[in-house]
Amino acid sequence: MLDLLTFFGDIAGLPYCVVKMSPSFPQYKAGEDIDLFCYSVNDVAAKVVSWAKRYAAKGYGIKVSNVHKRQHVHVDLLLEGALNFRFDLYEAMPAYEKLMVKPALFESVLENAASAFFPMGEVQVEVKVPAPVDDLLIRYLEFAEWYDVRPDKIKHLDFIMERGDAQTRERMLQKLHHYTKLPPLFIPHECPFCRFTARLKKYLPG
Amino acid sequence: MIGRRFDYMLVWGHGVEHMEAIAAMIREHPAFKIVKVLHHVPESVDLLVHAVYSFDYAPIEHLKDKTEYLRATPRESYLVFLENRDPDEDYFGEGSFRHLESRTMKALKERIRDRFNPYRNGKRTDEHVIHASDNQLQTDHILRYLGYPGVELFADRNVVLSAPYHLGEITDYCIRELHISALRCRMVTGERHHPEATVVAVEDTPHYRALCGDGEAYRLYLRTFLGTALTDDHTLEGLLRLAASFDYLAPPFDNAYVIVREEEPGIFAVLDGAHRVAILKHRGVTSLAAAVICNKE
Repeated sequence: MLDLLTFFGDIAGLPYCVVKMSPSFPQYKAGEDIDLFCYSVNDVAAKVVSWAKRYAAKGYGIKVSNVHKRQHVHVDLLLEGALNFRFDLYEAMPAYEKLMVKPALFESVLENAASAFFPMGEVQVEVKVPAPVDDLLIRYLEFAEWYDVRPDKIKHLDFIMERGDAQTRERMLQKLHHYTKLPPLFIPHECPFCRFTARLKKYLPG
Repeated sequence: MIGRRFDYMLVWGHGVEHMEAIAAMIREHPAFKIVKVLHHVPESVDLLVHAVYSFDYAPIEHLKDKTEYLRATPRESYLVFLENRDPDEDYFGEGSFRHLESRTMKALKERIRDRFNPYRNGKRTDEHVIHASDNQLQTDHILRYLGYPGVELFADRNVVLSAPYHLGEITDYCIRELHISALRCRMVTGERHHPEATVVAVEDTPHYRALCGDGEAYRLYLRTFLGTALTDDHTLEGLLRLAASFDYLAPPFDNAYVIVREEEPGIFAVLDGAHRVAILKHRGVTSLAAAVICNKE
């Protein structure tokens, strides 16, 4: 089991924010991941690799994948060839298709990050997490993007309904409406002439 | 003011005999790092002069007299591409010839010319042995003239990994502990203008032999292929200096992994780090953490 809190101790001075944190953090199950927003993926990934080296002697492999133009990077810790844990690092908002999201939301989340503290022996380790409004907003974006293909994403909607109070949810919706927009709807062009020519094609040879 | 930029120096045909000494002067300068050395034989000196000066701040017609002497020089040259870490840019010249130039480069250029330009009657002539770039645009232009994608060639494309530019973008890699006996180094054999690539065990490299005392073999290797098959800047002195103080992956080089690719099961070709591997082998180290490229062609 990786001691994730030691990693967060190592990056204490860096600007970052853990989004969609699992309720069981810092515990995790094999195959899970942690999503981090940061201003420099390269800096945070370098810290992950440096931190992970201590586990190399215990049989862990480290794999770095440049998913998208050095703005989205995976740093995977593998055990016996299988994914044990993934650091999912972002330097910009993930690419959503169901909603158009203003890029400035990324900086807003980072700048408004709050501190959560987790005990590690005698000390408390600080882990930066989104402000309550941003936490709900990001989970909502995730739910909206994936709900039709990933049934497990309902957990984010459950989180919003159970954890957020009415005022925070209201502020979340206001921020959502400011930073997002529905993508334009594509309606196929169908004028009478096009309909006529489409029908005509049925009777033409070839 | 900018932090760094890429410049180049062109050693004309009559300066080629001084290439080693010129390179040594560049290396001694703390602001410059040689990133690529190319031996270039132009179709004609006129063509090269035109390519070099077509991006100059002065019109080429103005430079005809200044460059006339080059027509009599041997038809070969070296192009030394440099990372300039302290450009210290300022304006030089008057009127329509006023232009931005790196003070650091200008000073080094003049020192090299003072030492190697031909002298007549005790006075330095303007038959310059080197030409140097005024700005990065000129470096970009000459790289494109040579068939490279401009200064973008030297852009850092990789995440975390400290990889040389010639490896391009490495999208996936794993950090693994490997036995040094499983590593093979890519070497060059044959003749200067007809090099052949070969793969040898670490102990058979001229790098390792230099560390065992046979420095001449390494010097000869570099001298034979510098600018042709070998375009990185290495020297025997540099290797021995590194060997004396080298601490693999110690800060600030904690992500400077030796980069390898698995060529056949259990055998890895070293793509970057042959010198470091030779040093570790010479010290009796049997394994090292290396970056194994997963899926780069």
